[in-house]
Amino acid sequence: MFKNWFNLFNLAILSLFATSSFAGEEDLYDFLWLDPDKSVYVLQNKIYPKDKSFYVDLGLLMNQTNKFQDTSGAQFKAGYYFSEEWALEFDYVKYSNLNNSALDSLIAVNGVVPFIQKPLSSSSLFAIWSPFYGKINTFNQIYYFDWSFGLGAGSYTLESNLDTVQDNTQDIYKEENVGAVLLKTNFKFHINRNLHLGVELLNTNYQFGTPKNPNSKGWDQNNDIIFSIGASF
Amino acid sequence: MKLLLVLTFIMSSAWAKQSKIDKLYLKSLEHYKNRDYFTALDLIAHQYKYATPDQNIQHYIERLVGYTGTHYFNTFNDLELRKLNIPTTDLIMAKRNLYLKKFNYVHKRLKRMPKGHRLYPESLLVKGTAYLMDKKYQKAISTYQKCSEAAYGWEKRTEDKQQNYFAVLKESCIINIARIHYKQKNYKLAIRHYEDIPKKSFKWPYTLLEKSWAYYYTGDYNRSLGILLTYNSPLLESYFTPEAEVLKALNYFKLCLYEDALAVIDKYYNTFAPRSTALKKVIARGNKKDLFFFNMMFTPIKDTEKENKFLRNLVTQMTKRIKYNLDLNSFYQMNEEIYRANKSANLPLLLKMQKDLKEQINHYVKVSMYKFINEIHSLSSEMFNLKLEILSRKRDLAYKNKTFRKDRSRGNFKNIKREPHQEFWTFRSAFWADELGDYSLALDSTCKTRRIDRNE
Repeated sequence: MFKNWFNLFNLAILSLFATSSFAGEEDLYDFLWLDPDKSVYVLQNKIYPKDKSFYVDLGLLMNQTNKFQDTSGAQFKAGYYFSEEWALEFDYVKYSNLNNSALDSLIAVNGVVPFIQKPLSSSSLFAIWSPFYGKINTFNQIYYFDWSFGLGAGSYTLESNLDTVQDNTQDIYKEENVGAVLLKTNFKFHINRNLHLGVELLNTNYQFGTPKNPNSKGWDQNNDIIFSIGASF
Repeated sequence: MKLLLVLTFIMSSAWAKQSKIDKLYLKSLEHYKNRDYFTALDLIAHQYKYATPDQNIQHYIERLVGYTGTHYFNTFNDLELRKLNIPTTDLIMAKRNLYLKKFNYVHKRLKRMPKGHRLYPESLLVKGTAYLMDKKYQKAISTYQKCSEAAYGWEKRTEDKQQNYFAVLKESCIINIARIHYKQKNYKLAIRHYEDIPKKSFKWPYTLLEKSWAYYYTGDYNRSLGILLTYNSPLLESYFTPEAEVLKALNYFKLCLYEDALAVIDKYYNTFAPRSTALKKVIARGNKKDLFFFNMMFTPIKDTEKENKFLRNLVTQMTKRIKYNLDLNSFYQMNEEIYRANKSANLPLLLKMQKDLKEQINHYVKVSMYKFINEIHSLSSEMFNLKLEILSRKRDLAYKNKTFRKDRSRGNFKNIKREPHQEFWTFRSAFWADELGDYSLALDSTCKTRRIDRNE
């Protein structure tokens, strides 16, 4: 399915740059040789099979949730594919936070500090399902990728000014460790048999209080985009 | 006094002999420096037909053979080759013994082959083949395995033609492993080994047919048919092989798609068989001319195609063969030496050797072409038998008032057998060269029958 999207994309690109290169290859592209009387399928061995393989990745993340902090961080993950489509993965994420210009402006104009959560770290265990494997043809090179989904559970450490934000007195941050349910989706582009690049969207869900109702916890979430480089063996 | 005289005579004659050899060595070295490799080789190797050279000269001869190839030694007998006592001549002797099926001598000759020598991978290929012909399959597999690893090691650290040579050696060993598994009816293992041959390899088009046979015997007729479709591609047009048509018909027969099988058989009789007869006439006409086949290899493809379409295919196939390429390489090397026209070059030797080589290539091409024609005609009888079988089954169905339960549809993906390490998708007019050879049909088997309704 994905291959066809990319085919369209490639066709558009090729028609711009390389139309003349197809001249004289009409026979190849009229496909009559593939027996039009019958449905033809492509059944291809994966260039990068995953079954019974380990992988480790190191990544840099950009946080997409925090309004008043510039949050970035690093991710380490390691996993094992016990079948072609299923893997178990351990993730560790370490965050770093800096006050951003929005917070500075708010304090300068209104003189108040808003409710802020600063993610510190998370450790989690995922079940990874990797049903899609495809390829992209670009710059006259074929690149292979895997698209996977993960469901995990773990602990999420963050600090917040929940206790002090209502009093609007001192701005004190308190560290808390909460349980989290995590979802993720990941694109893994294979450079060669042992190296790959990854793009991941990580969604962390946890229960936390709000300034309006500090004693009753509701679901909150944190989203990260992670770019990583990894090795498979 | 007498004894002293005899000793003096022996010593002086030995000294004279040694000094003659030294002179020849120096002269040969001069030719080598002038890049007259064949002349240099002839001068030195000729001296050691009856005496083993010292290590220094052995290394020197080995270096020369690196430029000339082994063609020069074709006129040496085994005794003369043994005297030279170098890995190159050991390998030549081993190959001769392999041809004579003297397997013990093959192993004996290759025992001393140094592991770091450039001929080591090829010696393992010969050794493995000796085990294979001797039906020692496990030993053959492990030797071929070592051969592919050794050749791969060389492939990584060499370039251009040398790299191609080691790549072809590696692939030959892998293909032989696949063939042993096939012979032992381990079809799935055979298929996995065939899949290790890269699609850019010269050998790859030939593995398609063998792989299709393996799929046929696993009962995966749709995959077998899909792979055979690859030969229809304009990219592989030159690799037409009549056996592929027989296998196609057999696959349709096994799926009880009798009409499709008959269509293949008819095409074989109406297109390929007459074309082959025409080819035979063209070849017979040219056969009377001197070096007709050799010259044909250098005729522009457009001209050969005009004569007969198969001729073009055969010429293209021939240019990809290892033996032909090695001989051609030697031929060009000789040419270079002749046209460089160094005064010191042994021109009569070079011209004689080149003439021999031309005749050898001419014979090789001729035999290959006749083999192709004979194959088409011998497979015709297989096709005829299959046609008879199909007609008899159709007649049986008619007598029993039965027909097939299903009509042949274009195919359903449910019929595709996918392994966990495989991906599949529908082919929708988007040609990817990397998918060549990875096709599959998905036809329903129509072998289940039903009674024909009176109202039908």
